[in-house]
Amino acid sequence: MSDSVQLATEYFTSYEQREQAFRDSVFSLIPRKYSGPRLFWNDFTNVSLEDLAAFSGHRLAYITSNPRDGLAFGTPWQVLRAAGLCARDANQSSGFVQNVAREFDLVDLLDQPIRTLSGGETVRLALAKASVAAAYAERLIIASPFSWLSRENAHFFQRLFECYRRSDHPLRLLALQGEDSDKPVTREEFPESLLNDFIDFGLHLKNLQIPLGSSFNPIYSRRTHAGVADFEASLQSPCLMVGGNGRGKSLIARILAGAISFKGQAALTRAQKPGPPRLLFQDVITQTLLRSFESLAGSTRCDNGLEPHEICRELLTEFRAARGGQDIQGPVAGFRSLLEVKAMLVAVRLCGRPGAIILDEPDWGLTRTAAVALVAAIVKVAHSCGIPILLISHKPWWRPIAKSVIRVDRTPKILNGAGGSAFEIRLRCE
Amino acid sequence: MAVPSFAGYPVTLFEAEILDGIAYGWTIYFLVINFVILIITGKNFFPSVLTIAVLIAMPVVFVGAAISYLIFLLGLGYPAGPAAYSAHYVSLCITMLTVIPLALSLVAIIPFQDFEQSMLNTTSGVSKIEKWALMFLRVFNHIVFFVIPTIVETMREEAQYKKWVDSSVEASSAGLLKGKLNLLVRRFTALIKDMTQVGVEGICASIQYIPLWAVEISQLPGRSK
Repeated sequence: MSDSVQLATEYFTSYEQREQAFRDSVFSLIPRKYSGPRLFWNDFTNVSLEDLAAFSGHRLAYITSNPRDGLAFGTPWQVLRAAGLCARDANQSSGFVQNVAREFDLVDLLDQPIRTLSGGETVRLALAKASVAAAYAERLIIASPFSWLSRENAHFFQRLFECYRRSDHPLRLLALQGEDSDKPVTREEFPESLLNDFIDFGLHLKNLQIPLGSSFNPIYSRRTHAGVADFEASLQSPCLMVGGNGRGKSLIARILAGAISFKGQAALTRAQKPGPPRLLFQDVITQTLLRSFESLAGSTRCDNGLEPHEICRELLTEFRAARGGQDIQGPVAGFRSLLEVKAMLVAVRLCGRPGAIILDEPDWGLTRTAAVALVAAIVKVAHSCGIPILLISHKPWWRPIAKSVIRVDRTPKILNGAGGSAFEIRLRCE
Repeated sequence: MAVPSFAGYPVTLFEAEILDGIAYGWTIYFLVINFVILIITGKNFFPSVLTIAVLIAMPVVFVGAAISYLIFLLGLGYPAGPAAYSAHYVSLCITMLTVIPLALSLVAIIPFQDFEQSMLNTTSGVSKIEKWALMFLRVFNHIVFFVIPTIVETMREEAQYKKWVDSSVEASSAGLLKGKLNLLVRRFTALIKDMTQVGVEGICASIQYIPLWAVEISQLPGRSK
């Protein structure tokens, strides 16, 4: 990122602090879901009692930390059209939406439901909306602007930044410390003992077809799917799956963990007969389903009698050790931090003797130092139980710690492709 | 096809009962509706619809019947015993297994997402009524096409593990009645827990962005005269 972007960015040490700052900037219109149902309900009730019409006078452009959340409409066409109507530009040119879509490489996606867009496509849409909003917005607020962007999409953000700077609109960029770093993890950041530690495992994909779109599709919509080229490889943990935004990394992760339906064979193989691979989603807040820390732990018990709480404690001890003994932020007003929630979700998964632990963008919601220390802790504890780790990331951070690297790429999107296949995902070892 | 479920006509004309609570009218309507849904929506969609319908209907029917039985035991009502209310719950079950698949199929068939599109495809602005409709459609589409699928993905990931644990327990307790009963109880408790969690998450995720969207939709330019 350019120096001017860095200078304009406010850096925070925790997800909770950054979310609070974002929330304050948007007049507390977003209830805090990460702190449990009670606080969420209090926030929602408070904002419901406010006169929302009073906020309508404030024209804000914003991108939430999960960019799809603030898009307000169902498809990219609707999002851009609504922004255009507010900018009073849509009436002037019939090709308005097409022009903006072309500028942000969204032309083929205009009618696709937002949930079915990849992370990269969603970010481009959020940037496109904010760019149209430059015509009327008083200011622009972005939470974690660098977290979702891969290098090839960074110029879209830079363009938006320059656009607001030129028009003298105030900008508020709220990021977590180190989130914008492009530097790979160094030996000083990652415990050296782990750099020589590995576990063998295999990945096998055959005749895979993934239905695209929501799991609950209207029956009138045409079902399309993506193909995955056959792939078989012997790998070593920690294994890294890399690729830019929208290449299909998260789709592969969801297939391996059985989170989405698919046709064909997909398996992570190991010498011992293990349980199914378990996945830590990028958006862990949704994954908690608003369960309390206690109920997340459930009643799972390891073979060696350990409980998730004990594994979680071990993970956090390793986390502190990786940070040179520096302590973590404890529960805030009775609520656990995002870091602790992530540790517990991994602990529960480690307890169940999984075939592998898949971490989708493990740095999401964490500062760089916290993310590196957490991954180090997970690798150490998982390897001590003989469980391989598959990291998924578009960031160049994790390369030095990976024992094997898989690159995910895909063919361009073909609408009405052969056999209804919109594109093919291809994996190769690097 | 859906009109009889709202109006009652002509289903209620056939009141004669096959068994207590199971009238000819509702039974035929239940069979016809589910058959038509199967034909229209296909074999991929229908099992999910039926599962959701059963998951909603069964707790309502059984908990309702249990409460009525408790009322009878405590001497607060139903002096004639279960015979006084059982027909009501059997009839409720048939009705729910007809109405829920019907409602879900309507959601899948009516192009709600296109309504949002057509309301924004305007050159003269958006009227106040259209803004209300847009807000309603936004929340509805968000629940159906965003919140529910996201929860389903999370639960599927967890279900893989639960299935694996159950299969190993089943193998180790093959033939033992106690083991099978324990498994059944565990599955039932897990189902109740999951449904509660899904309910809380579903409600919160559905309403989380309503204030933000309300402000954004209200900012759309009004209709010029």
